[in-house]
Amino acid sequence: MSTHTATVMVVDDEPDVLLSVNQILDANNYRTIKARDGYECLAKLKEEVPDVLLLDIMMPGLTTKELLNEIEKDSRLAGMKIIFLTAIHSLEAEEIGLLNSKRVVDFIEKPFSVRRMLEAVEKAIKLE
Amino acid sequence: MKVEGEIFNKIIAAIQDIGDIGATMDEISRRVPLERHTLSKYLNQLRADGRISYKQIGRAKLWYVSKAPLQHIFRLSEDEKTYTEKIFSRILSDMPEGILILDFDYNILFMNHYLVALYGNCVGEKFHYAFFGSYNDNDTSGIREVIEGKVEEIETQVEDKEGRIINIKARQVENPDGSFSIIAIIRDVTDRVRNEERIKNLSELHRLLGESVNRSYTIDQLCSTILKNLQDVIGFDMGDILIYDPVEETLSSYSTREGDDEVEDCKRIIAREAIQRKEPFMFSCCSDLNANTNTNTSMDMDELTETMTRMAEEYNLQELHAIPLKTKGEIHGALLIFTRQGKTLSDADRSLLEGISESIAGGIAKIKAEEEWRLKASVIEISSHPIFMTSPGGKFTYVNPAFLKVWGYAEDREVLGRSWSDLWARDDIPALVRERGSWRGSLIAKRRDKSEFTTPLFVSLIIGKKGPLQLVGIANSGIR
Repeated sequence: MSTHTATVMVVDDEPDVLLSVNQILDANNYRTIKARDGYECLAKLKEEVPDVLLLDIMMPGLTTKELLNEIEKDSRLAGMKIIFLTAIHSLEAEEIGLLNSKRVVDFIEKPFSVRRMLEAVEKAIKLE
Repeated sequence: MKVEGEIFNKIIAAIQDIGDIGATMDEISRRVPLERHTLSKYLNQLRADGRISYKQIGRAKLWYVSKAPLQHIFRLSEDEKTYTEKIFSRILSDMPEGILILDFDYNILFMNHYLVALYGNCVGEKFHYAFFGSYNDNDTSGIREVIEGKVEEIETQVEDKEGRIINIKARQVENPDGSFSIIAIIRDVTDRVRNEERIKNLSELHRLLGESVNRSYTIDQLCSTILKNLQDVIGFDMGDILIYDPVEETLSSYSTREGDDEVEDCKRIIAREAIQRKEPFMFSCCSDLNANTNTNTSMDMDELTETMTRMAEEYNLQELHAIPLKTKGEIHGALLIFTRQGKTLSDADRSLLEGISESIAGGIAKIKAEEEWRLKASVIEISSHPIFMTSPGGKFTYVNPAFLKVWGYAEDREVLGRSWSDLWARDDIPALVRERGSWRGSLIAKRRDKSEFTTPLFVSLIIGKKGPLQLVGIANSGIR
């Protein structure tokens, strides 16, 4: 079993998804931070910069586009990688300009296998 | 009242006795012995009822029985009408519905302003000619049945010679001399009927689109059904749905009317342009290429205009509309709608096309996704590795044929719903997978005949929109 020191922030408004993904990342030796929407995500990003952001699209409150814009403005977050974990189609995300940022390194559509998610996180960390 | 009625009948009989030349007051008084002023009072009452009328000849009045009192009112000049007649005739003339009076031989005796505005002044013409352009009195309006006394009243909806839908309500009106006229109330209900038809067709179209999502339509069935119903709603001349295959970069066409190879090539050029632009555009033979001409064009504008002009000339077309079939950012093809000369699409029609195009794209995307899933599912079906799915708690929800074979079962219903521990020696694996996301190792499996074998196993958790969905496992077919 590998030992990670990387930190992953999971942002999802579905409690069961948030709980399950965090639990799995913890069990796979990642440090995790939870956020239930864009506002909470931004607040927690001010306290700590994770290596990877696992981000849902279409959450209540701040839109994902607005959240990405805020992240782009913050130079502290320049090294943070973003992986979308969402039920919407990648082409739709592309159309609304969510895939333009260089920080976005992967796009995982729900439903997804945990193996796929863990591989994506590991790959994103190696990109650093 | 009874006495008055008898006097009225006597006066009418007296005037009829004199004949068509008209009866003077003296001639009537000889037959109906009343004082002159009393007779005058009764005559005026009968006239007010429209049952008799008079002509002023010098100082004398010649009285006649009104054959058709209703139309008689309209024949009088304004000076000749009583106050009541004036009011009554104005009301009828200016009513927001058509008033038509016919005699028993279909001759139009009166039509009010409403009908004159629609048909011109046709008084004196035959009803079926004025309204239906036919010399034959075998009309479909049903008025014949009223004239022949088969029915007392009819209400019907028919198309007139101009293509208008008119609602006719007609009945007989008996005249004092025993003859009758037909009075009809006629309304132009074209807009209402067309709107009702449009709403009905739209409802049907939306029902079919919904049905196509719930039923296993093929793309072919979806396109032909949608085009047929769309044609009923919009009334276009020719419609095509071209489905784009991004792998092969080809377009397959579903058409209400196929043309020769050259025309089909033109359609493909137009469809490719719509796909490239990702926005609708239209070409009108009277104007030029419209909207979004300066961005994302994939080809030379002259070439595109030339292609569309060629199409328009070939089929005598007025407008060409090209709408990309786009949903969730993905382009699945293009909808092409062509209208013949003289027919243009309204703004409402164009909005409808754009709305429908997204629904069509959604239907196509769903069919494609289902086809893709069936293809992928067939890979699992033919795999020699045992593959299975369970609920997060470990109840079996799917097993492939290889799994059945290795575990010694004949049908999947023998396995589905059973617990993890019925088929595997360790029962803690589902909890481990839920916690860690996946599990890999060797595990003892339990066959149907209670025998056991050890197999390598990989199990992963699948997470959906709302949380953990299923566990998916793959074992090894190599039995040890």
